[in-house]
Amino acid sequence: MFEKFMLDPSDPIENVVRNGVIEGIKIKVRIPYYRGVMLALVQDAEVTVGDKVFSRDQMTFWVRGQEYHFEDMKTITSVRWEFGEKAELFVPLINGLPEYGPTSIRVGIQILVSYSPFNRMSYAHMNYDRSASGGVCR
Amino acid sequence: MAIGRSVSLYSYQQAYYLGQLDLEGCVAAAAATGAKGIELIPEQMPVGRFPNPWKQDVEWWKDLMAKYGTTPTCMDTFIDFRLFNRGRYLTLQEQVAFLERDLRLAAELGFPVIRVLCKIHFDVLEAALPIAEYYGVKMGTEIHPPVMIDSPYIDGFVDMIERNHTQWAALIPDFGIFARCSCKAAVEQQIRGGFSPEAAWLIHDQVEAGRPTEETVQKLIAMGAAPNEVAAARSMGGLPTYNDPAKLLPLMDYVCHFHGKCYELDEDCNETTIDYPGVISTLKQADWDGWISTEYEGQRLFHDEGCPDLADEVEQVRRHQMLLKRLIGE
Repeated sequence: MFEKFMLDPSDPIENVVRNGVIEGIKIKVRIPYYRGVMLALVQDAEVTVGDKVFSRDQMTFWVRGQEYHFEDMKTITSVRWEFGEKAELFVPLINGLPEYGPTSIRVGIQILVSYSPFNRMSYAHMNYDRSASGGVCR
Repeated sequence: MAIGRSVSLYSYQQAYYLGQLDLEGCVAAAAATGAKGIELIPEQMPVGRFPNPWKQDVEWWKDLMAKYGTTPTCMDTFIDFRLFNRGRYLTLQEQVAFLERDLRLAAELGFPVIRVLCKIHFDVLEAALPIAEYYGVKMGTEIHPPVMIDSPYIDGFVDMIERNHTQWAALIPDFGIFARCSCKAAVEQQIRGGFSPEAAWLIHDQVEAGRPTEETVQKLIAMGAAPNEVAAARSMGGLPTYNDPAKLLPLMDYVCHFHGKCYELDEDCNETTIDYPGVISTLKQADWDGWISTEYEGQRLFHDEGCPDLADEVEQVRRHQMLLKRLIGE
């Protein structure tokens, strides 16, 4: 659901710099479901950048400026990821994205839908070019 | 008042998600069709914040209804009964607590009815009857595919209502239970998702012809269909299960609202998959009073990656309201 719109290619992908070192990137993502949910229902995530695959527990989830580890989110019912809202996945991609040329990015999110027997990852894919998109390294 | 026309803002989910319409924009679009009722999923389009709007949010909502001459009809709720995913379901008490959260919000926002998902057992509604009465909000369980009108579940639900002599639990049939077939866009989506065109159209044609599921499954197996194609034929996955509208008649006293599910409205404002004329004429025959909310869901059939097209939700809702208007005979 909403796979086509989970990623917005016009959103810049930021490099995350700590102590002068690029520790990874943050990718904005919208929910692949027709309503917002408590964080406990964000069951799984997966990101592939080029040929590197990152699983849920290597990443963190950011919503409205607050960082969460997926393991901790299992019990969080007081904070929601709203419908249409852009959350961010921090992906520990050392040295960040290359400055020029497209990079293939695939994001998967799985929401636990209690009434559905078909819970599975929803995937979205884009070719992202930092130099072309205005996604300037910050 | 006879049959009133309402719009579920669910119908505009794509426009809201993409930031093209905000909550007021959705209400304005609905009102522009001539609909006087508004149905809302607050977990999709919160009034301020879900589940605890501030007082000024509630006032804003009431002013909004007044501004557009609309009235709240039904609020759609969810109970995430597998919330903690630890191999257990929430207990009955935990589920009732979520129901209370939603009944309180509905009362605050002026909704007389909440929709409860058909997967929530009526034991939960029975336990919540005093709470619904306290807030003055009816709990309507949805009759939604794959649930059939003739089913032990509905019989049990009606027994529960009778046993309690209550008006606070009721039924909300979804027009999806009167679908004769899936629409072209749904078949095309299955094909983009990897189904062979032969299998996807076979399933469509079999359903349209009212053939039994097992026959479809056998035909698929004989043609060497993939397991997911066979599973689709067996499952609810978008496949309609046609109920004769006349079967509603003995249930009409328990029906508090309708979801006017629709997938595809053509230029003449006809729904291409669902038996609208049959159902509305049954409602008129029963002299039923209440709201039918347009619940357009066809946009979803264009949301897979690589699909080049998009649905025009505002136009599809307008056409559906024209269809209702014509059939109701306004």
